[in-house]
Amino acid sequence: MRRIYESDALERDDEEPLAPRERQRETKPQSFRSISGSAWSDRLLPHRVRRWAVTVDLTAPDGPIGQGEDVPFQLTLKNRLPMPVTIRTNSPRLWAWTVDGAQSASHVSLEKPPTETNKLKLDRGERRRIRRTWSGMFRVSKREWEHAERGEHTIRAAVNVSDPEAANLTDETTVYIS
Amino acid sequence: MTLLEVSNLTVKFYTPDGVVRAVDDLSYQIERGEKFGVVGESGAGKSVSALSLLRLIEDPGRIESGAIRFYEDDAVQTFEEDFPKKVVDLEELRNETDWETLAESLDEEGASAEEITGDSRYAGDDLTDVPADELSIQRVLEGGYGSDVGLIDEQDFIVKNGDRSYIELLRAPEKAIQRIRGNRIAMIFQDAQTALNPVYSVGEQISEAIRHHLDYSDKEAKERTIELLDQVGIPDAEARYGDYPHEFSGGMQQRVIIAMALSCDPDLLVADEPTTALDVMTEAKILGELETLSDEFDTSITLITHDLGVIAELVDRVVVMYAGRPVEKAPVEELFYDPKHPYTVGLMASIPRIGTGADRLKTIPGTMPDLIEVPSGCSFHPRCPYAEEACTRKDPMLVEPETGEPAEAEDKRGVSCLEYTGDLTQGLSFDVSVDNPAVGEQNE
Repeated sequence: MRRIYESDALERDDEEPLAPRERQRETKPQSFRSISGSAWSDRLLPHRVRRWAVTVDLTAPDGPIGQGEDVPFQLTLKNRLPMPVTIRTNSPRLWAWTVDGAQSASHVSLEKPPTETNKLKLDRGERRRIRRTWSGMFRVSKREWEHAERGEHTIRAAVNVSDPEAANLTDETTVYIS
Repeated sequence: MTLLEVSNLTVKFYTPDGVVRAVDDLSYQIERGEKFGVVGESGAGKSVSALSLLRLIEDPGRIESGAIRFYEDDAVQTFEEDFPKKVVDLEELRNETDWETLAESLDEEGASAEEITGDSRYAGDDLTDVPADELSIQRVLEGGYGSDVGLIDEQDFIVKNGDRSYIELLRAPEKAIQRIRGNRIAMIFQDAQTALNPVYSVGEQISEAIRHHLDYSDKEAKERTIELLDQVGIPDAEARYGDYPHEFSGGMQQRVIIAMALSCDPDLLVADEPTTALDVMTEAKILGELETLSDEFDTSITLITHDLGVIAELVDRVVVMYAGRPVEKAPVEELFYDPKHPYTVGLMASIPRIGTGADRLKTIPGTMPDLIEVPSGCSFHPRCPYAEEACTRKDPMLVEPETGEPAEAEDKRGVSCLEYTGDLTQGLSFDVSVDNPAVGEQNE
């Protein structure tokens, strides 16, 4: 059987744009897809640089919020570098939020995360927005919640590393409950 | 007699967006030969709880706490012989333990008195202030503190507790679990087409399990496979033995999965929505087959579904799950004729009925909450028509509806609604009317 290339069945000219033709590429590939960027940046980037590269930003509504109402807030994690970064976290939980120092607005510790580390991965230049809502209540026991008192409350979010303040991997904002 | 006991099972998924609490504090037990149902909407944690039984939770999921005990004397005996160093005797532990030191170590580990005693009276107390006879070795082990406080070795998984011995599946090494999977506990997976390997013939996939677990020769395994295929209704089983999964229809693929699950005569069959993708005729046939097999071989079945019709047809007892937690458990007739939880009532009301004259189908408003952000208090309160202020602040325990006492795993009925602990002021005001009043009753 004659190969299709040797036949005249295919036209390769500009007048017939839909006819199959040999691929002509004028530009060279800009990146090597076969190279895993995250694996290399994991090997080459010092931890200090990785921590510097990631910024944490927390925003919440400015105006007063009624007691018992939900308080939405948004955490933005951004990678400033044009390459992927990975930050090793203390437990599988990658980040945590607190209200007045109480994790997930709970005065009781109900978590027993496994004793293993995890990785917070951000792609090159990635901006990750995470929206959460605080119910405006504090968990005071395993099965009970209480409304937060009127006044100012501080919501803080931090990447789960040993000293997030020193690494600048934390941010806080205040909300006013009226 | 209990075959499997799940106790305070908590499964979480650590995703980049946050921690998903897929199963939270789930407890139930399955009797030998019993058909047990787990029902709930999509995302209620049904499949995750089933996969946990076989330790098939994949990364980023973690079984964080709880216990799954498998009471099968044969299996315990075999494992005792094969893993003699992994046996713990609870009686001995009870006699040898110095309770004061244990309480101190548990306090250091951050264990709560409520967790270890199982009694809410001690909430917030230090364990050293709790009377020694209130502390339970079993609960210490369930909480996952056993190896932390040096009571047991991290690898111990065969537990002797008086005359009842069991295998603690969550602590068992992978080697032991592989001998249980498919052999003692088998699973019918949700999507047959995905569960079957496309590059092996269906016959080979079944006979592989038989050869591995039962030490059959190639010829014997093939014979048994053909027998099984025939049993689940594959016509001309001998000729279809060498066919590949794509040569089977959806219903037949599902039957192959069932045949595979039954191949080693399991003690427990976990069926995860076995009939969801099938038409009603095939569904009826498969349910019939499951029932016959359960009756014939005394196999326990855990049936996971969101189809209440399937539940009514097949199972003896049901647990209704919502947002990863059990909200009601009851024998199947009581659940249908006398539901106690507003969610169960909502599910019943949303079954389409012919001839009622209703213009629209009644549904439960809203959707299941995001399990990363479970609402405070009762997780059903945003959708509950009877929710009061208390529901936003108090998380109801699973209690016996008659007494309001905490429901234990062996209790037949349990419901988690504040109505039954006397915390609601307006009460629940639904009526349950049944066509045959001899069986049903009204709940005011």
